Amino acid sequence: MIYEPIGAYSKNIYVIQELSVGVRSFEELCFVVTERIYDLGDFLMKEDLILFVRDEFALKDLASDLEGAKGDLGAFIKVLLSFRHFMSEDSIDEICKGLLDGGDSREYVRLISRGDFFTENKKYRPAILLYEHSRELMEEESETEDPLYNELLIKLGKLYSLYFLFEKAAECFSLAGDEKRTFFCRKLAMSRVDYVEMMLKEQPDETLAAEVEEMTKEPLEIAELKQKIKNDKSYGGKLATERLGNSLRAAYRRIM
Amino acid sequence: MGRVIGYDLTDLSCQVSIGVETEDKEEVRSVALFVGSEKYVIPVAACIDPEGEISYGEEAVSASEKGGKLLKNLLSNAVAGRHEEVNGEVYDYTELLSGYIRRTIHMSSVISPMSSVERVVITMPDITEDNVKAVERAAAFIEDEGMTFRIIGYPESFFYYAMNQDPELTKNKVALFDYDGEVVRSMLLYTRVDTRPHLCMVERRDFDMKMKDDMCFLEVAREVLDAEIVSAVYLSGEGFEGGWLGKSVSYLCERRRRVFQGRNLYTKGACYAGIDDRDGNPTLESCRFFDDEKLVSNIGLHMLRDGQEIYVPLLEAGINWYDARGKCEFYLGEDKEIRLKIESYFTKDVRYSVLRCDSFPGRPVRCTRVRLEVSMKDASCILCKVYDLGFGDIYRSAGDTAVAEVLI
Repeated sequence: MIYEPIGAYSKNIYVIQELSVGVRSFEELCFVVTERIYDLGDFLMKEDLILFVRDEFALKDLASDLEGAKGDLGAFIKVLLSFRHFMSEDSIDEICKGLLDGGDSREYVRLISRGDFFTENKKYRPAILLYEHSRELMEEESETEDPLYNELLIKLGKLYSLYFLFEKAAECFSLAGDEKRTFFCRKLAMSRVDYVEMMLKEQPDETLAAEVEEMTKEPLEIAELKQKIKNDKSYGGKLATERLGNSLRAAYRRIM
Repeated sequence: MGRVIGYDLTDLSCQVSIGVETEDKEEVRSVALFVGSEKYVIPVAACIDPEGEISYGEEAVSASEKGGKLLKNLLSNAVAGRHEEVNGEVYDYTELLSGYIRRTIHMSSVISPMSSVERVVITMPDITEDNVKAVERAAAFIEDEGMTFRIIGYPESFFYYAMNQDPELTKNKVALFDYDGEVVRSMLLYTRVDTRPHLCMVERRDFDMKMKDDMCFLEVAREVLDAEIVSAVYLSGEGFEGGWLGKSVSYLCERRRRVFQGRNLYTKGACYAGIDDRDGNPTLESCRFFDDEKLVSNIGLHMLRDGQEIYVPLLEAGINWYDARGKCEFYLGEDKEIRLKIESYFTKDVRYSVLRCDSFPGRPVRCTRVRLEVSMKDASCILCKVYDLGFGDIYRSAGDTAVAEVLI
């Protein structure tokens, strides 16, 4: 079965800044609301969204109903999703369950969830900002014992690593108690001299050190490539470099 | 109220008529080639003189006698997409046809200024996809000048002509014989009153008749009329001119049949069609015309609106296939299927044709907005194009299109 569009398709876009997503139709708005239910907050109930619904979607009735539900996020979402039987009541209840029960309404949980969304969409910078903000909140609220805190640090560490900020990454992994990743990042962040000094001073676990050594040694492919470029400065060498660079980047991401 | 022009276009000649208001009603008059003359048939030709000046119609024939290059068969050459090189310049037949139509339509300005013309109805003997497209291209200027235009076939012209005559003449069937000197084309207009609205249809038959022979035509007339109750008979075409009809006319006038002869029936019929489009016609409100060019099924879709299944019409039975255009936008469901409902206007039989959009990217239900455009390749084949419009910025359109032909 196919579905008739509800309201008009807008030429303009309404951007929900807090979710970094834009919508042009009633269906898109409902999709964002249902998919990002845990990320929603009072920011959704803005006057300009209601005006957009009225003028751009040409849904005056809905705009007026939303106006009436403003102030209560649960009611606001229910009004939206139940408009013209867009969703069944059972489905709406299911979707709103977490939201209406309070679910996990802690601010830092929402921020982490939003950060996860950005990470999934490869928008790492805003994700880092959101994770850092949640980290601050968790520390302020003394929630560092929460397992979520460790998960958050791991996520942050991974993102820092992607930007080659290995010191910061090492700090995050260290706080999260992930020795292997900490060691790995520290080695990448240090010069050879600093690394040797650190090894002498801290004398870390031998197995771990050997493992990290293995992970960070010059790959065989690099050695082969160096040889190849030395002998052949043609375009083929460049292509091989690019290919190898790509495979190394992929391998690096797998490690992290 | 704007004026209406009827335009009968063949590959060899054209005729123009225009609706003129008189004291009691609007009268359709043929436009003469020269003011005051009774010459209404204009040759479809263009002439390019050595200076590159282009003249059309009768002027073209005169100009060719003074050394210009005469180009004939503008319609068929435009359909074939041909060009002609004259004095080193290349001329596109579509543009020449366009110039010809413009020139001949403007001839009506001797009766009424062009600014008062609201619509033009062009009638043609052969309605094929290529013919229609060529004329649409050539006559595109009509819409650019703020007028509307549509194309109809000869049977429809005949229908409008007959229905705009004295109602006594359409009490029973109405016959038309059109003779070009080689073939007699007969049309029998009849009304089926067992349906609501009544159906007006045309039965067509062609008879080879190379010689203008009274007895031969009598045979043809007998074959068409003997078994029918006919109120009026129209004789059209230059083939009937020359006073060679004798016994056949006596036969045609039998059984109180009224007989009319002329050469401008189609152009006037086209003009009446335009007037009826504009004003409506009480006689036609209770009937619907069908011929070979008409879509004989209602085409539509079922979709969910407010949780209820509704029917959305796309094409309505009774329109000319070449005018058939429909489109709508909606969201695909889980099965990525579009079920086209085809309901026969006559039998009310319903069948469904399924358009599959499997090539579209996989997305959640109701997250693929599509536009369905339907048109017709001929009277029995619907061309469906489904465009993936994506889902805003959330799922961008991949630009996919699904195309299917559905036979009625």
